[in-house]
Amino acid sequence: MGSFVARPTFYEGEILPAADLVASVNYPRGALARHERYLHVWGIASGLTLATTSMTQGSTPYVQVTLKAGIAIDGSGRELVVPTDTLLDPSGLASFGPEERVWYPVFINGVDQSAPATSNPTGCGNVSQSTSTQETCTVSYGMPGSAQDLAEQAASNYSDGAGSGSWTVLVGFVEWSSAAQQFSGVAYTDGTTSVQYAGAAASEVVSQNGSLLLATHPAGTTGANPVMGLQIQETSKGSTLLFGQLNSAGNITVALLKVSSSGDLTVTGQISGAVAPGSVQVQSGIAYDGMTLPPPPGVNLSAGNSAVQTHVSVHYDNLVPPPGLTIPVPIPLECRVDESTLQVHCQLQWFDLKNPSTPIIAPASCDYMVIVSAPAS
Amino acid sequence: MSSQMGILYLADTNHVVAAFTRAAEPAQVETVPDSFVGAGYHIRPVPDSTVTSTDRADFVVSAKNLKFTEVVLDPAIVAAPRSYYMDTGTPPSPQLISNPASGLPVSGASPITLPNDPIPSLPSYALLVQLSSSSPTQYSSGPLNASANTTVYLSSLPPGTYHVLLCVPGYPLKWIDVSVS
Repeated sequence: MGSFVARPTFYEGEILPAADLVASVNYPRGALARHERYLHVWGIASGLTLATTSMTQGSTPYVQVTLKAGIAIDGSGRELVVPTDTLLDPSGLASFGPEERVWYPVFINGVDQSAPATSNPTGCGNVSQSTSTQETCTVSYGMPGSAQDLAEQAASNYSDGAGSGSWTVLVGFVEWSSAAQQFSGVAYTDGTTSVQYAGAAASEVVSQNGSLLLATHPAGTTGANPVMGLQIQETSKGSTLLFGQLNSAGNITVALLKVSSSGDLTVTGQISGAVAPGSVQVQSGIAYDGMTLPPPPGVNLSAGNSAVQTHVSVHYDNLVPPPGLTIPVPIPLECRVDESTLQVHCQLQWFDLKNPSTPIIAPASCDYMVIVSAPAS
Repeated sequence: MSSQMGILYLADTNHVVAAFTRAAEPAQVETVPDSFVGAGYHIRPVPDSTVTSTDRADFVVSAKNLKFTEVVLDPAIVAAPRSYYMDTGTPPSPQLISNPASGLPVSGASPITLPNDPIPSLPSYALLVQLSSSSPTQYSSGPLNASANTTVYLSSLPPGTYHVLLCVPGYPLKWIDVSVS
């Protein structure tokens, strides 16, 4: 059980011990940490990217990796501030005996360091002591897979302030070049775990200006992908919900999806998905013996989708006799579809009227129609 | 009707095993055959004239041994897809198989000898083997010898007569029955 949150108070004539002054500083710091911890999601808030510079060692290429300045919030609500760009030291990873083509996580942790002592002590005694604590960060590497359980680090008590820095934040992954004994690449995911960015924990988000925007990056960000946005806005011509690409000014000028305040839906692409109650969707074409019929676009007929009814109709299509028959005559053998798997069974028996013998059974193609319907609710 | 057609073909030998059309194409065309194969694609081939068994072969090929692509519609290919192989150049296109099935061995004895004139760009074969139409299909593939015939041994199988589908580049699929002693 945690202790109560203590707010320092003072009275006239009180002799102030250092501990009371420290508590005066710690109180707002703790309040801020609790705000960050419970109203936000921990992660990188800004910057802290891994920049690479291509280098060569003889003819062996490698990269220098720089952790760019930035700020993160750890799971205790503590700020992790990297004030300047920091060149990563490959010797720290070399001690792992790293393998190539494996992603090694790069972590940062908060560290408190006492600032150098003041040079002009004025109190009793003649001892110089530090009068501030520098909140710094350390960079470390982990073994592959060690970034998977970062969300399960020890949680704080409700009354706790900022943590001591034991909470680890992932900033990216590096790859190793054995030939150069240097880094060979960086990434923000190893395929399983990705860098986590700070977020908001809120059950309600309310705008004050009649417009609310969610965006995948700050407007104007240049990267591999377009910045997408989702915006709810009030206008005198009717309110709308828009989804589309965000321009550099932070506006969605071409909405890929638009919902008006009257409920009208406008999309520029196709609508696909499960069959709506009361609707019917159809697929048709030509299929060959043995294959599974394709359903209408967007319809999943996998096992368990009991909400829809499927009707299938097939009949023989263009009949092509097997080679070697002089006067081929086809006789139907089977032209059906397995209702549970939609597998086509389409075969013919071919007779040669010029050389009557045992008929040849051959696969064939068929016209098909798949009708998928869902009862109106 | 779409101007495209879907092609399912063997990954190791490029033999087209099925073609189909659909009136409504999905927004994102599939890149793998799983949607059209289910638990396995069934190949029920025309038997070779030497096959005397009354049991109908029903070879099942899993999706991992198949590929899927869409190409421009050709009704002739939709009607008789197994007369074609996939030329996987740019753009990929089905091509008519020029050699007759008779170019492949008809002997029902093990080992099987495959000719040494495959399509140079794809020098590998595949064999589908099953004891009967209701038994599981064993799929195997291997490299074709470029300078001599390739001998394929079935001696690891228990004694019996097996349905064998020969898949050799340059030749149509061919079903023979092979006796393993």
